[in-house]
Amino acid sequence: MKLLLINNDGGGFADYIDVPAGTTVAQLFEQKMGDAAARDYLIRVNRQPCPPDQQLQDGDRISNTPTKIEGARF
Amino acid sequence: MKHPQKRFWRTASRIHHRLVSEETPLQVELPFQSWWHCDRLLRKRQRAHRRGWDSAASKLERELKTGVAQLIQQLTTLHQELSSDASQQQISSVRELYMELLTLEEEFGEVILDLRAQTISVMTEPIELEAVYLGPFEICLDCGNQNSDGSLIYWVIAKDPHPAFTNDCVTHPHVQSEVVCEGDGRLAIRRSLEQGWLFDFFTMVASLLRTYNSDSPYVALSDWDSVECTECADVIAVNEQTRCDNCETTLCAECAQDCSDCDCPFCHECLSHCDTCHSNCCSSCLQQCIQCNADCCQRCLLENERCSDCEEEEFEETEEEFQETHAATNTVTATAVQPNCLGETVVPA
Repeated sequence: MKLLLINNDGGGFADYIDVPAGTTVAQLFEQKMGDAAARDYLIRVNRQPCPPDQQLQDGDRISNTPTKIEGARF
Repeated sequence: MKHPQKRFWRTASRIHHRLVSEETPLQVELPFQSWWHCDRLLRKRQRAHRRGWDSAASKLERELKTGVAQLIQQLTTLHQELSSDASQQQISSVRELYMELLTLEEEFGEVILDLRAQTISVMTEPIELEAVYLGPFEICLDCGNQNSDGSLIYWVIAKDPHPAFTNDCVTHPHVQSEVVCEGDGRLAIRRSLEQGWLFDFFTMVASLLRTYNSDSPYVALSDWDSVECTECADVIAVNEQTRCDNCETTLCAECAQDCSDCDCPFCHECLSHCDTCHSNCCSSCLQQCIQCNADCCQRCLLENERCSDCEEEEFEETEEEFQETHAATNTVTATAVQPNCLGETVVPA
């Protein structure tokens, strides 16, 4: 199935990705975010809060936004 | 719901129209300004070292470290930007923008739409970082104007401002004059604005306001209620500061010098010296000697408004005059008391 993944950590990249049916939110996070801790991210599916074991559906929009973003003076 | 769905839809439609019509290719700029800033700091630091200005040199070194860190960050961000695939940009549809606005209302409680000014605002909760109260902030997105790079403009407005003591414009360690220094979030925030991810944009800015980066603030939280000594640039707590009694500049205990007469603190510029005893003295306490016009402290100026030097000089002159007069008087007296005919006798020729 095809999903839109928006990663707001760093570059704010968005990409359509293919994942196997039955993939959960936690599995996708681990797959795409590596060692990052899920508690440090606001994870939304179709802009709504979601449990880690929620199964993703075709066409879902998933966004990972860090809860701590450090500002810096330019 | 305070705003009818129709207003959300109209706003979404306007934003979509603007994003589509103003779509611009990725513009790349090298961080020359930061480079030159670091270059200037480096030269100043070298000059301070050569002249033995240790305090100034250490302050410049701190600034240089921060400047270089920022330069690295800007280059890293630029590298990420160039590495990303701009063709992946997908501007949100009107329906998606409408959904973003609805979700924003759920997340922040209220979305303030100003259709005339073309702004969208949300409010954060009162923010407190490291026990420093900063108050709530309004994140205001201007949908009617754009930056030179084509992204939408936004401001962060303190609603219960508690600015840094040294700078009223700094209402948050990472906000100056209502503009956020985005740091790590720069590219993601810019991307969210370019593509119309309103929910992501507002939540990222709110996250940024709830986070403190001690490496690169406009004003560090540890110095939020602190001030800088005007003379040596040392950072001191507000309750430890001293103000020059004349020009009211802020001074640390080491740089403040007391007037020997009135005991009030003064800065180096406002403090003079007594020409007679050379002690520190303020201009209010100094008085001119009516004879030689020397500036004198109250202890050195005598009751007759003359300085002790003039008084001494006059005393010496008087003494000399007295001695001269005395000597003359003695001569005259000696002549005057010459016995007339006393002890004399007629000697027959």
